[in-house]
Amino acid sequence: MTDMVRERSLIPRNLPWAFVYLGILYARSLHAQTEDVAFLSEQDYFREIPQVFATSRLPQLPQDSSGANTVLDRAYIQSSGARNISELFIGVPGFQVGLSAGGRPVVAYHGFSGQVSQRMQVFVDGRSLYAPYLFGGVDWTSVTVPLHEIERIEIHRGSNSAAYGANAFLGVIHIYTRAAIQASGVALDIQQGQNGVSDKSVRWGSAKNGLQWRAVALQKQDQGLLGRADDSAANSLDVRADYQISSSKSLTLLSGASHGYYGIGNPGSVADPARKEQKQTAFAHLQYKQLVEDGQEWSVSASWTQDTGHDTYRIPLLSGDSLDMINNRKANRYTLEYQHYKAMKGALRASWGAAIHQDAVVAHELFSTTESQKNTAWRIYYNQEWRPLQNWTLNAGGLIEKDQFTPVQFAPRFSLNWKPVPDHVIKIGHSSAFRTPSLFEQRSDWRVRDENGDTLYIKYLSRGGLVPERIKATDLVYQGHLRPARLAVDARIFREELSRLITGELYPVQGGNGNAGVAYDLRNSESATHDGVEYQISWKPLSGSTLSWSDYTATTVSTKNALQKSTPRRSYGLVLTHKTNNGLSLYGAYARTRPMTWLGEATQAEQQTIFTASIQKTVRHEQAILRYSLTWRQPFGKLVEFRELQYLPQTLWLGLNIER
Amino acid sequence: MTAIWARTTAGLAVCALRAQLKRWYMGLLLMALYMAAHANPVLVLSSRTGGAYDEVIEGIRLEVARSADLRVQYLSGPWRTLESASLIVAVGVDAASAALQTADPGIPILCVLIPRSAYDSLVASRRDNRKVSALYLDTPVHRQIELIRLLLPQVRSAGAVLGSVSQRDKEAIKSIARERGLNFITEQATRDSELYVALRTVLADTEVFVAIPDPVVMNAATAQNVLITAFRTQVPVIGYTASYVKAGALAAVFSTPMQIGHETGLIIKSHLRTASLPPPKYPRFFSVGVNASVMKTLGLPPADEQALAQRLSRAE
Repeated sequence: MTDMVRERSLIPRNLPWAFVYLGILYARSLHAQTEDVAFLSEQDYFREIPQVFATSRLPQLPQDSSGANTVLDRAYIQSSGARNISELFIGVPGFQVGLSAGGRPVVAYHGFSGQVSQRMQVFVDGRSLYAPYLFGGVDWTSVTVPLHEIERIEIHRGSNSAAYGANAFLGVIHIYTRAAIQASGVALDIQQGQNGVSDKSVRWGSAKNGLQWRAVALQKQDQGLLGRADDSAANSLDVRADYQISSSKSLTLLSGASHGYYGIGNPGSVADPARKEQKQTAFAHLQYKQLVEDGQEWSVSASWTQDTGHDTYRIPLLSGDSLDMINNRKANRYTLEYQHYKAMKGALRASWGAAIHQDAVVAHELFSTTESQKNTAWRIYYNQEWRPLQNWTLNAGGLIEKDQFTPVQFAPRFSLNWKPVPDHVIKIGHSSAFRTPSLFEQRSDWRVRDENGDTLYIKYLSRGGLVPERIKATDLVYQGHLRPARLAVDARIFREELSRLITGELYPVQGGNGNAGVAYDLRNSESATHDGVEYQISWKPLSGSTLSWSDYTATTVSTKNALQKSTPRRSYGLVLTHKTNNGLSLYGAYARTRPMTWLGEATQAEQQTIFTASIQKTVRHEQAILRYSLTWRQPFGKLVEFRELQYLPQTLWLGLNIER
Repeated sequence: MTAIWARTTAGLAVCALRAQLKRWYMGLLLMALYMAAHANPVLVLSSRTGGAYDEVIEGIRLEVARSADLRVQYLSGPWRTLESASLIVAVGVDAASAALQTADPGIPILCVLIPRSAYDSLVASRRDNRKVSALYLDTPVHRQIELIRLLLPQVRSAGAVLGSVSQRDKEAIKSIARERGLNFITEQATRDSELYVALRTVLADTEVFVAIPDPVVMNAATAQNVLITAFRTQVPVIGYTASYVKAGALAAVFSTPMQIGHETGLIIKSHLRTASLPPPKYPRFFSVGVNASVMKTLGLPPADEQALAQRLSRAE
């Protein structure tokens, strides 16, 4: 408890410095503000304006893109009252959302996930969040971007390694932040409520000629789930700067850092005592874009991401001694990528590129060595859109990737889109994708040792030689607008054949004895077939109102029971948003997921029913925009969350956002 | 017979005399014009050389080549206002300012390639009785709004951020939009730091954004940021220069320097005939630019820029 108090006290100690720093920057920006000019010159009419738009930068039109896509726009994100990005996926067909513990959300598309989102790729402004440690996956706590700064989230529901490489296995999420220009000025956001909900953020931004920047300092905390000692508190700083070098060249810097404490363990447990895990993230991402001409652009980006975890505790022994458990890790990822887009002659648009990245993990506990475990991979890709006729679009592409441990992988994809009448498109597509084994899966040597360093027992001992998991996905997608009825329909019928799935198996260790005589290893030994249908029907009965019904039904057949149970048979939900002309916004979401067992869990998560309601009022006061919000999660009582004996509590929180 | 011969001879003589008189008359007229033109040349004073300035001058030359003595001078070189000039055509704001300050008050001045706000500011500070007029560089807002109607007939709301200068046209703009079935939303920003709050408010409630020039909030320096913000919120922009279209606006209506030059030439010719200048006005000749990529994004069919300009012209 003392530790907890001490740790908590660190939080307000850091934040004031962020305020001071931002204050200095703001003072400078005020100082630099130009005086008003008397009148326009004719040169204002002929001066070249840097291009902000080119064909190549455009997202494809929904009727021309491959597969099924869902877009969560800024208006939806704001109206939801959500505190965490993961909560936004509740209404998306085929998605499962959970909290494995306080502050540790999991998002999965079509299941096959444990405590981290393993079989899905997530990008923030083009930077992958896929973490190379442990079992590989997306750690949502490493996202430093506050919800207010998200411009939109694009979700590709389906495999897409052909465009995004390894780990774009079952689906891909793209999170796009607002350009710095849109976040100029100052903003303050406070959320305060039950169960220790206490979030505060301050944003400062400036836009001057070619250079725009914004910085957000965020402090976030809550008491987590009921039945667990999993309260969490984190501080983060997120910075974005956009610099227009010339009319055709631009530079964007994205960077951030976060530091948080996350409660784990069980009170009263000797082997797994209640404690705080400390996690830190830092990243920098530099993008250079060069517009060659309208419809042609190339870009180079370099990024670095570091994730650090500290979790040390002692297990007392009967002898009076104790075992020091040190689960510390440091993972670095470096990526360099080149992309080129071009609108070719006729009806052809193409993009191609190459990337190289290196993962390096230092984790003595996981690898029984203090040496850095490294894996370097490269990939090349080509994708194109061809519209030979007005009603037909063919998307085709492929990617080749190779890392140090696995053979060359090829991921092709094609999709044929037919638009029989305007506003209606039928797409048939096939793709093959892969998930690269993580460094832990390839080289784990995780032992519990006594005070002399001798092995007491082995948790994981890899025999190596893993190859990437593969998936073949075939789908039929219909997207249509029935404008007179104000209805939009998005349906996907799919068959996903997963092979070479990596799961744990116990095996006798050669030369080992006693408890050290057996160990878990991870092998490409399982397969699964996932067939189903998912759809979303959106109806706009009134101006400003949207009612969306999502439904997902699937059958999983697998050689391993745990895999079969990791996907729910059905999930469905209803989301209502309504916005009035006088600044009032209403949001209500109801979602139900049939029982499933998350991978690695001993107990089943019972049927999950989530209900969230939010009401917001936006008013303008002189030059400031004020938004008040009241959000109520689980108003009908607590809910079993992720595994038995832990509950998502009923929580009410109030929010105030001031933007100027 | 003799009588017939005499009448014929007399008739031929009269015809010859008439033809001769006509030739003399034409010659005298040409001489008078030549004298008028050369005795009282038209001084074209340009703020700068090259680019749009030279295109305007070229447009003037093509129009008045045979009917006026054009003397071109540049502010950047050695220049002086001709006391004998019948008219000074000032190309650009700096040239207009220089001409208004230094030229003989008896010489009329026509300011071209000049934004309306700049012209109003320059003229408002003068108290002499000089004849002065302008052919604005700006596009009248009604053309932008009419362009919305042609390109996006389904749109019911448009909006703009107005600065302290453009604010004076607020009610006129709203009235023009209302006549065309559009609800026009405006927000005011008096400093550039207020632009983005105002912009966000407007973009949240409108289907199309109209860029209306203003010295502080809507100009070349802010254009890129306005386009980025609008692009991100998926609101198309109707601009007022060709640069807007190239940079990412859906479309713009504007007058090219050559069109300004051509219309200036017509005004010069009229002035030589009538010794009077028309009141300050927006250009009659204009072009429409459409960004094909943006059109495609919005799912709109390709547009014919010339046909749109003709339809706009007919609508006036």
